[in-house]
Amino acid sequence: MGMLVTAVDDKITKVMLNGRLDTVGVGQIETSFAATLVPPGKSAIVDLSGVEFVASMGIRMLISVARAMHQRQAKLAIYNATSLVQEVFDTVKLSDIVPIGRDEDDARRIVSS
Amino acid sequence: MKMTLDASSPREGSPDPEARRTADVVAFAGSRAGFERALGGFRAILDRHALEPRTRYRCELVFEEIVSNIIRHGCADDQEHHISVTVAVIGDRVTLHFEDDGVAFDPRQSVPARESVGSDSGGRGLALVRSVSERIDYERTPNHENHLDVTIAAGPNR
Repeated sequence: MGMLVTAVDDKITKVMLNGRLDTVGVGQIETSFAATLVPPGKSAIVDLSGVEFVASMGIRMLISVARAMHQRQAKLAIYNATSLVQEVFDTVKLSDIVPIGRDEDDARRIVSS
Repeated sequence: MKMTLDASSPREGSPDPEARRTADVVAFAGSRAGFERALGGFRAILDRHALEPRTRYRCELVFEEIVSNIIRHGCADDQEHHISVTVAVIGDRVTLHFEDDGVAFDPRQSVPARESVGSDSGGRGLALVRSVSERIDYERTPNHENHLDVTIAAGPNR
């Protein structure tokens, strides 16, 4: 599981995830993912185009970090999920908790609003 | 019948149906380390069946959610536990047969109360299993094993 972090601007962080957000993958990145996004109190967008598989552990990680960021008045949005991953998100109604953008511009608009 | 540990390729042209059957079984210790080792064997089995991408995804999702649930809840004591998973592909349907010797747990009874999306509990995983399954059968055997069959629905998301 890989994670690439870049600054979009001084208010938004962009994270590109690669690999599988299953029990093994989440175990590999959860600590650094949370440590990167929560303490700064900046909003963030997460590009999931490189994530081939998401299970409940991955959903739990996204919700947990989004809630922690919300407590610091920061927002998290995800985008570019594959169609199969999006089906999983739709099943659990993830967008009720973590906004899902159509693309990067949409995700940036969501966290900037 | 006690299933054997074998996730290797079936022997080329083997006339023995039992040999082919055992090749689609992955067996492992009921622990996080066992789970991680078994994942590769399970995915190798799926590779051999050349499943349609959505069906393949659903198989991996059911494996992930059921096995992690067994380890988290069924194998949480200090005892050694064993899990086996058999893959049966018939037409466009895949049935995953799980056996474990952990505490009794019927996932069919546990889903509704814990499937809230807002929950951080493992109930979300069982809700996912239910959403991609055509049929779920569970039995607690007289020799204290859980036997669970999950038949995965092929085709479009339901």
